[in-house]
Amino acid sequence: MSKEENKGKLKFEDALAKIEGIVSQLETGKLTLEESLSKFQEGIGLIKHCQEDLNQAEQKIEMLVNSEDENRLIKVKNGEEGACS
Amino acid sequence: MSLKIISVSELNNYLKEKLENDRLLRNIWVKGELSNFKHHNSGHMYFTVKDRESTLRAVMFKSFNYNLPFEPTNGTSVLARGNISMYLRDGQYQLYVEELQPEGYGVMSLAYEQLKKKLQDEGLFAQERKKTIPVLPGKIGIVSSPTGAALQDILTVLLRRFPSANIVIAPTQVQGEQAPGLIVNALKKISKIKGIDVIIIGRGGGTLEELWAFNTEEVAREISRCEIPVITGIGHETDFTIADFVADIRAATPSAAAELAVPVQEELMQTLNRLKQRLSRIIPAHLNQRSQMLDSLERDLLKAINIKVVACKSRFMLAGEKLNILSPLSNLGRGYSICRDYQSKKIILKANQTYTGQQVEIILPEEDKLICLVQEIKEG
Repeated sequence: MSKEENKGKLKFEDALAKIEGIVSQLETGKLTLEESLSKFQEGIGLIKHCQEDLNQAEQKIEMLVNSEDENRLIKVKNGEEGACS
Repeated sequence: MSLKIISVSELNNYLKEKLENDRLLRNIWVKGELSNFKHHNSGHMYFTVKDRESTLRAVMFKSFNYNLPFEPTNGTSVLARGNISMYLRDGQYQLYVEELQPEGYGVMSLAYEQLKKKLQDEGLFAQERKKTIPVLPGKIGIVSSPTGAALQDILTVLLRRFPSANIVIAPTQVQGEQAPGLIVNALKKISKIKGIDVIIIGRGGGTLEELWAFNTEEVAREISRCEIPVITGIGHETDFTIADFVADIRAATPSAAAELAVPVQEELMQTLNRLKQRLSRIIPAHLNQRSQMLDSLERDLLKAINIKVVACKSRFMLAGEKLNILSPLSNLGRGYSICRDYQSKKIILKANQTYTGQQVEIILPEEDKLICLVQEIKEG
């Protein structure tokens, strides 16, 4: 998950809450057709965004290396170790 | 020179008062070894506390000792908290004990209680200060020993719940003299890594001494200062370190901490799918409903129009029939004929409208016409 790229976008739990809100609203049936369609669009868009967030994630384990001048991350995964800056 | 003569009671009372009025003697912690310990039937405990050179009489009343977690025995090194006063009957000052602790445990426990109170009074444990843990963290930071079981447990749980987890580990010693400083550094470093949304501080079970680094002021303050939410998973279920109080959330164990840090990936996906399904069903359902409404309105409209048309039709037909009946042309069928001037087509109703020799036209039924000349005019 590269949350750095997601700055400015909605936090996952906020998006989820919004989606649930939209679904509840639509299920009451009290909106006009126009409002319903617009909320529907919004809801579908948010769901897509959340699913992308989940699907883009890739397992990654790194360990900080204590060195005098800087911290470096070493990739640690399934026994493989390699230096990465 | 006259010496004041007083009674024993007066003297002892005087001394008692002196002792009780001394602020320093109102609440003191005394260290020493228990001896002459007697636990009376009344529930009260009587003993002496001594060091190599001196002894101190002490009493711990039932109301203070009833929930002592240990039974004091002669020879135990203790810390006793209480006040000094005098038992008048014996003319003996003694320590009226309110708290009693075995010493080894005691010193650390004392430090623990004191630091806990200090930080609590500063408001560092307040619920309002605690940050919420994000549901879906970007990167997860772990501060733990790289060789400990705690780290393995945390990783196992994290990856089982969220296989795509993005984890950064800040290794550090978790016990020993250097530990507090190293833990603080690890925490500082990991919170600077871009994208870290939650930090787990983990350490396996151990004795009070082994967990001690997490009861130090510097570690507590660093956790408090940390801008990223911190979950502590230190020791076993019953271990409460000061780090636990200051953290944004305490987990009973390192594994429990990992459970708090990430959701179950599979469940999240299912939740999203279910929401998507619900959402997708709503609009068609709406449209169907409205379509139905339109259909029935259309039916009603058609019905209404039909009724109107039928009504108009019958009015029209009625009028037509009436017209027919009233029409002069219908008379023609009954033997009447219409006479009119052949040239001007003007209808002749009276004899004086004609003249002999006039050419007239006589209209018979079915549009038969006779062209005649007026031969004679007879007035009636």
